[in-house]
Amino acid sequence: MSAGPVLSVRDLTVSVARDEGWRPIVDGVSFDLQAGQILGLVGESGSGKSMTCRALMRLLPGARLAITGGSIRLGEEELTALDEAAMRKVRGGQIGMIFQNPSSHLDPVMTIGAQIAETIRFHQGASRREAMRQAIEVLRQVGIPDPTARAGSYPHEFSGGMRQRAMIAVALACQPKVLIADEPTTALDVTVQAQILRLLLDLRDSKGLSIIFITHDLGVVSQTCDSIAVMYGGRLAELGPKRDIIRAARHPYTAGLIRCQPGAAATGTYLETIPGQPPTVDAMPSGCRFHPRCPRAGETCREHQPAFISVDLGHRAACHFPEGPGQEAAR
Amino acid sequence: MLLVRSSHARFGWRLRLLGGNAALTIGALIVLGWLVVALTAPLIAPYDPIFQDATARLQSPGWLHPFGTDNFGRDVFARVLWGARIDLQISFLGVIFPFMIGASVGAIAGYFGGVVDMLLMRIIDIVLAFPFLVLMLAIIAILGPGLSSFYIAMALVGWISYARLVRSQVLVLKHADFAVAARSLGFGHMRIMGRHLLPNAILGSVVFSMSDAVLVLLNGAAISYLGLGVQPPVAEWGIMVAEGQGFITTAWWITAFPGIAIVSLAMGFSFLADGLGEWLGVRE
Amino acid sequence: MNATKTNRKPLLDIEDLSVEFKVAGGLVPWKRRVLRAVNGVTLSVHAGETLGIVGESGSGKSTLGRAVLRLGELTAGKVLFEGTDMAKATPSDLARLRRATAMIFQDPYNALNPRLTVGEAIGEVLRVHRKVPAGDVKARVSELLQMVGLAPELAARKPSGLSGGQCQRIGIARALAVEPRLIIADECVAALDVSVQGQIINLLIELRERMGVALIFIAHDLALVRRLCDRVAVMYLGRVVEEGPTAEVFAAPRHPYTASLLRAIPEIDPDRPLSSELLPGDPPSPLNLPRGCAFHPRCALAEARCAEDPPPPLRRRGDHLSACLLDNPT
Repeated sequence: MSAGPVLSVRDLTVSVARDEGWRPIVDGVSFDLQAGQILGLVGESGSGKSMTCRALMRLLPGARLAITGGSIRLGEEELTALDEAAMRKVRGGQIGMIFQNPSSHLDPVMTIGAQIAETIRFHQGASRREAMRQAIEVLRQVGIPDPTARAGSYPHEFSGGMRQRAMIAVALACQPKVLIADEPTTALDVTVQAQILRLLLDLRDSKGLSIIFITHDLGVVSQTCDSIAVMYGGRLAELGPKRDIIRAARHPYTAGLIRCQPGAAATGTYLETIPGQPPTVDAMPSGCRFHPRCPRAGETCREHQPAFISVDLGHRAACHFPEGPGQEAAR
Repeated sequence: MLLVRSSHARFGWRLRLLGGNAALTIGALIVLGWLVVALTAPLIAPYDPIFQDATARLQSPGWLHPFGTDNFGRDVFARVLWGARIDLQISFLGVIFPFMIGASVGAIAGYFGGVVDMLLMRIIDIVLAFPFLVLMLAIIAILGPGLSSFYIAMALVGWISYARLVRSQVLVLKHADFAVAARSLGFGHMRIMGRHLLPNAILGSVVFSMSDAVLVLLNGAAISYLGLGVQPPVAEWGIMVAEGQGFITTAWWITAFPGIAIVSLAMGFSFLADGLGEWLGVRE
Repeated sequence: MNATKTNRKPLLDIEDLSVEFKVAGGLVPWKRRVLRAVNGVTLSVHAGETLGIVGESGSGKSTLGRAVLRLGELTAGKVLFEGTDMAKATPSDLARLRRATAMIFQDPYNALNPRLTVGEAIGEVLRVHRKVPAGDVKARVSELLQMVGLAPELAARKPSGLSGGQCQRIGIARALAVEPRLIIADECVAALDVSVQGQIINLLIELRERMGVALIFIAHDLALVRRLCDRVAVMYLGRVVEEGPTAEVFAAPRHPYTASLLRAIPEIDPDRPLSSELLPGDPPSPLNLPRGCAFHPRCALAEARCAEDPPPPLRRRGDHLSACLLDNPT
């Protein structure tokens, strides 16, 4: 493993075809994923967070969506240049992906063991016997009790949390370097969510897995991630180490999201909110996309897109008037 | 509908019509075309459709008679134009009655469930137990030949498909939040069924009714062909095909032109069904 | 029922309510099994009060909410609404219940008829219940829309063109059109974006203050419940295992299940790592309830007696009730 990032994304742009032409829904997103790092990708609906990760896998849903710019480097390989056959080897082989709803991503008429073994046979050409032996081993690693017996079970025989574990097992069958987790705990109960988060942390520690964790839940992010990337309206608003982002957010959107959390304030007191609602693809505001909802917005914000600049060590934000130390008093 | 949806860009409407939803456009154009023909038949038909010109029997298509004449010397072109009136009427009335009966029965069965549902579904099973055409012929035979008998027979037999379609939709929709919300707001059964469930449940049936119109049209033609529907000398495409079949080797035009008319209208309905399905977002 | 409010009769009194469903069996299809979704729940809500009902999926919280409003079947027990037992409601009792209660749903789009405009949907309620003269319907619709923070012009739009937050506000406006004394909100912010969730919660707080409407807030998000509710009831597999004033329950939970739920809330604190005392396993299927305390197979404190029937009853200490054998009220 080289010292550089496992995954390096530069100016990634994903667009949707409209009558007037291509319209970007992911607009110039850049980030690095280091080995063994967990990167939280946070955003609301329509922020482009899921689309970014679909693009990393080159699995954009629908013919009207396409990667229209930028690069995705996995180690030495440029993923945007690969053909479909080579990309199939990357999916599952080098990048695994898990989803919010395991039921719709597991084959209902195939046993869990067979699904994992199939992936192993496709990527590693192992024998049927060897693949099944490895499948059981993977099931053990994701904490499924009595894996030898459970390998013969169908997805519907698993409970919600177990099904999510099974999907993680399928994704990890071929020991990928990177795992993309798209809202993996959103559909789960809190107590089960905690178990799955614990499992992902353990897998990172034991296998040196790098994880991109997509979620809308800042609480989950702050418990699990090393770095946080906040997306808004298809662009990165802020990116930095977890502590910096949570304790000293510079972008007003990030700061607002953190202040919105219900927290432990007294019953019946109003919550802080961000007025308005997230923009949609076809009605993106000019300039900084957050300006209609931003308490700090000025004339510049309406007209000019802010550059994504460094505000601190490893901490970048796209804001003309960032919040920050010393700013609080000035407000 | 066609122009309104697509008029915002300069060349937009043309692209939209063909690229956006070609099936809907083509289907609507064909059916509209026949509708115009039916309405204006008295104006555009060059001859009286039942006028027999003994001097011009079995004339092949030419300047005087574009589609030729039949064995009674009647102008086939005029008869095809006039036939559109009867055949469009057949496909419309043959669909609308089953549609209304079926939608009501389906909505009631799906909404109330239980004994009501079981009873209505058993009736459907009984109707289904007989072959469609045999049952229809039997009903027409009892009522006596003629178009009204045909409509009654269609209504009695054809509603089951609509009932089943609407029932299955209502069964799903009645548990949707908006239906529960309507109940929680104290609305009555008729209001919930009529205003909240049916408008959402019949989309699939509207699409189906277009493909059903094809079947009804062909059935109507078949029934007339068998001598149980429209009676001669009225111009109707099915009868024309029937009457011309004895001359198929010597005067092909007597059967060919009404045949083409049937096929084109059927295709129009069928395109319309596909297009509507796409437009309304319904998968059959 | 409620010790502190004995003088006032509660608006809603749920007594020993059970809801059972018959489910086709697994191996023997003709042998129907019984799913106990709600199992002997007793709760009360006073006028103007907000009760939170929390629990995981399968805890029966939504089934309970629907049964209370008679939108779902109930098997046994009483639902006293303003003194009338709605479990045995006559059609006129039901009509009265409908005129005094409303429900807000989880999926803001699905809760609105896609074919009606916003104005038609809200106006329909006003017309059916003859809340205002026919000529004033339009004006009242505008007023209701403004009350929930929407522009009156939205009345002409259909739900498909609106955002989730806007649709949820419309759902609330439609509920308010009834002028209800009790609103049941079933996971009404779970499908919304974080920045919009707070707006809806604030709207509920505001409406409660202005109109004194009682609210049953069904949710899995404990942090929101803490912010909004006066009292909270925690449900596990169809039973209420703990109930009390929100502040007290959150500060000193008496049932081990509540305690582990609280530990599992992911709070925004980069220095607070994931709790290591995780609750093991998934909630068991309500088709197959464990004997005794239904929570004992996952409970770290469980003793042998916890597995013995009957399940522990709710026991009171002051205002705070819990159903745990190991919790000794004195």
